[in-house]
Amino acid sequence: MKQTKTIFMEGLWGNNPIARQILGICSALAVTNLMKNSLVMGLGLIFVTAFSELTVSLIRQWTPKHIRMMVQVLIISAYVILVDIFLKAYFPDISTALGPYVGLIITNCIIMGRCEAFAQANPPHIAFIDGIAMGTGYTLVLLTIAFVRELLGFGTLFGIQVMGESWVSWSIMIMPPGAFFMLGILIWILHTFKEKNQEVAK
Amino acid sequence: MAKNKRHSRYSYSIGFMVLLTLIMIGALALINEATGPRIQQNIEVKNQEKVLEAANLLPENGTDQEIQSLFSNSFKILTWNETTLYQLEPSIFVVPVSGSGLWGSIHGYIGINFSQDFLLGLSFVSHSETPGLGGRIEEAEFLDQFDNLILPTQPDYLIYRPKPGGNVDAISGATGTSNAVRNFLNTDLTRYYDAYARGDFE
Repeated sequence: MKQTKTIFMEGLWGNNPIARQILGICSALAVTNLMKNSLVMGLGLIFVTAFSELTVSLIRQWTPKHIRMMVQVLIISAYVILVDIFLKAYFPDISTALGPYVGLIITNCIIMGRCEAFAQANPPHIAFIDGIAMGTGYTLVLLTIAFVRELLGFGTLFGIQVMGESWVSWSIMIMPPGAFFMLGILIWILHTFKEKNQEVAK
Repeated sequence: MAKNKRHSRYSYSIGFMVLLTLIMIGALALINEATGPRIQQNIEVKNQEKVLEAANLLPENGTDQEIQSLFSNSFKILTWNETTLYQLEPSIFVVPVSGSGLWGSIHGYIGINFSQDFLLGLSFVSHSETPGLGGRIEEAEFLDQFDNLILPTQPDYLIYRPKPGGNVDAISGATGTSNAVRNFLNTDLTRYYDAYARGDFE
């Protein structure tokens, strides 16, 4: 139980994939103009990371070391295709909105990184939990960025109008530069907090 | 030690990879087979939606059933030169248009009222233009210009402002895409008007 908590703290805060490891940046920039897209992307990533880590960990004793990367890519791509098929069948609109980014989950460094660094060396249930924790950390950062971008860029949250009629949308927030600004500011804030905490701990 | 030796043999590695690939492919093939009809139906509904949009008949937030019934109640489907035409009224048609854009081919539909020389609307089914620049051809701001647009009585039908006789605005920053769209629309419009004048559609 204590280990689960430690893993979650690592994923959400201490070792957050975006804020601390600076991984998965492309998708964080690309899909964060709407909260709905960010949420679906995040859920997709949680699913793929968790199950890839589980599978890699399950077969880690039988996997020849020199072809482990190939094996990992194969496993990850199978799960990504699964997510892609699922979205196409049941959420066609979201599938169109996310476009190539669903397929590109496979290139998301977070999954490969965690498979290689964590799942190879840990038992299956812990690897699975780590996948969920890392995916959740990623999703939370995405949702934070999307919250600001959608609110300022469209005046809506999850497609629901929250700003008044007179609200003037900030077009820059919907465009790619808006994502860069937001991500930069967010990482800056998180780092400053972290450093302050460390100083206090000393 | 013995185990590691076994793992480093080529035959073991190859066998392992083949087995894993077969399992993954088998699982994905099954899932693909199971969801195939659903995905096919989604694509069909999307296509019908685009035809309705080109006829300026698309209801806001219509469900799949509403769209399908509206589609089948509104249109008579004709074939002309292996092209599928959607007839709304004797002289009102929705016809497919396509051509090469800046990066790849663009496919769409345009609604034409042949007896009064005006367009009902335009919709794009697929394109691979730059998101945020040429990709904006699928945004309402560009497409709505074609709703109920009165055309000149002879080619060129579409002219970008501020040229004399201009009737639509191009997308600034996306001259390549804008020109490509105008060119293939003009070619297709000329082709369809000629065919209609010859009485091919009756």
